Amino acid sequence: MKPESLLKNALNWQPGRNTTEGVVIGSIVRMVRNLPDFPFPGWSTEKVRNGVAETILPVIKSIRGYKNAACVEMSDLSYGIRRALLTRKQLTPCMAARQDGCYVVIPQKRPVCLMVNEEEHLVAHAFRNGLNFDDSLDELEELDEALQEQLTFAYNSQNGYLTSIPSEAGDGLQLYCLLHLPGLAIANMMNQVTKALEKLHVSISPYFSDSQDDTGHLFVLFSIPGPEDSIEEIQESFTDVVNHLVRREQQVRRKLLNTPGLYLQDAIGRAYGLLTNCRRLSIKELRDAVSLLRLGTLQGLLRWEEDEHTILVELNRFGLEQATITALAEEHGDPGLCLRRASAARDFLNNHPHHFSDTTI
Amino acid sequence: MFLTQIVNGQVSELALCEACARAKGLFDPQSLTFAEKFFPEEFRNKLDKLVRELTSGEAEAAPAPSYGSMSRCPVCGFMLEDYRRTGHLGCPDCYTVFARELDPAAEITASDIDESPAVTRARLQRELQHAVEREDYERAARLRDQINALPATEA
Repeated sequence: MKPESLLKNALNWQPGRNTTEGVVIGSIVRMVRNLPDFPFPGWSTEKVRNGVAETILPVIKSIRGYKNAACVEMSDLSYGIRRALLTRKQLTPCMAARQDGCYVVIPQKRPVCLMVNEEEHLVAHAFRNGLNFDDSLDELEELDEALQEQLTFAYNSQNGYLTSIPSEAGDGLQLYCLLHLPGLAIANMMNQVTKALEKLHVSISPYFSDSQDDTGHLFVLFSIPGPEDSIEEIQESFTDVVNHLVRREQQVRRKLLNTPGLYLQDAIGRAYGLLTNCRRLSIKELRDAVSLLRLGTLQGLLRWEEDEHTILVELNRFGLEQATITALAEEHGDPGLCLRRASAARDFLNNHPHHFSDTTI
Repeated sequence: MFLTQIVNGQVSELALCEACARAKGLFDPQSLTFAEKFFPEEFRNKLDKLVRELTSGEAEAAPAPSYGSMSRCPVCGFMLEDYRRTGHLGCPDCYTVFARELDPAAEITASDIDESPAVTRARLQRELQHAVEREDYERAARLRDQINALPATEA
C-alpha cells in the first residue's frame, strides 16, 4: 500500500463542519486495547511487534468497512507525511516516532484511524465535527465488538482493560476536543484556564504538535482517565467543562470587542491586511491570521457573499491544507514555500467575495 | 553482539553470541535505545552488572521473590524500578506481578497474596481451554508455557 493512499484517506475527514458555537471544531474518542500475551510496544522487540501486527492486522482487514483501508508500516512513511498526519491528529506524537513493526490503518470512508503498536498494541481514534462523542463512541463500540469476535484483549475485573500506564486502565477510552479559543488566548487567560482545568482532571495543550505556543489559537482539550470513572461519567463531566469553556470564550470575545482601545478590531484588521497584501507568509503568520479572520467572521466584522457556515468551513480547510503542504514540503527554509503560501492566501480572499465592515467604530 | 562500555576512561569490551545476548535481554537494538533513553541509570547499572558477571564468571544470586511483590516481571523482564521511574509497565502480566506496588490497599484487603498465582492459573487455564476450543493452538501453546512458568501452588 502506498503511503500517499494513507494521506488521501486521512483527508476525507474535514474538521470544521458543524462547529459548536464556532468554538468546538471537532471531537475525538481514543480507544486502546492490548493483547494479553505480548509485552507492551514500548518494551518489546521488533519480532514481538511484528507478532502483534500479524495478529491484529488480519482481524482489522476482515471487518466490514476496513477491508480496503490504507495500511502502511511506519518505516515506509516519510517525515513529511508523518507531520501532515500529525497536523490532522490522525497520528499521535508517540506513533510518529515509531518505525518497523508499527502500522497506521485509515479506512476509505470511516472517520477512524487505527495505530498498531503505538504506546499500546491497538489504538483507535474516531473523529466527528463539533461536540459529538456519541457517534464516535458508537463507531468504536462496533469496531471493538467486531475485534473481540476474533481477539481476546488483556482485561481483568479489578483494573478493566489493561494499558501500559496503569492509571489509564479501565474502559480504555479517552475524550478529546479541538477548540478555537482566540478570545481567551488574546486576553492572556490560557494559563488561568489550564490551571483551573487541572483540578477537573482535564488538560489542554496547543493543537499543533510542532509548536509549543498557541499558534492559530487552536487547542486540544482532553480528559485524563481515572480507573474508577466510567466513560459515561467522564463524558458527562467533560461535556460540562467544554460547554463552560465555550460560554467563557464567548464572554471574553464580547468583552474584547467592547474594549475602548479597539484592540480586537485592530488585530482582525491587521490580519486581514496581511493576508490581502502579503508577498511572503510564514505558517505561523498564516495560522494566526486565519484564526482572526474566523473570529472577524463570527463577530460580523468580515462579511462574505457566501453564508457564514460555508466560509468558516472553507477557512478551516484552507488553514489545514496549508499546514499539510508545509508538512509535506519538509524544507522549512524554502523561500518558494513562503511566496506560494502568500499567493494562496491572496487567492483565497479573491475567490471568496467579501468586505471588511467595522461597524463597532 | 559487541558491547563497549567506557567508564572513567576504562574500556570494557564484551562479545556475546546471539543466544547469550538474548538470555541477558540484549537482543534488540531498538529496546536498548529505549532503555538507555528512558532508564539511563538502570541501563548503566544493568551494563555494570553484566560486565561484572561476565568478566568474573559468577552470576549474582537472585533473591527468591514472592509473587505479587516481585522486583522483576518473569514474563517480560520489566523491573519494578522501571515502573517507579516511568509510570509504565512492560506487559499485561506486570499487573499481577507488581500488584502490591500498583494497589497498596490490596495488600491489606486481599485475603492472601499467595492466592495470585492460583487466580492467574485459573484464568490462564480458562483462556487455554477457550483457545483450544477455537483451535488457536499458537495461543494455546503460549498459555501452556505461561502456566508452567507460574510458581507451584498447593492443592
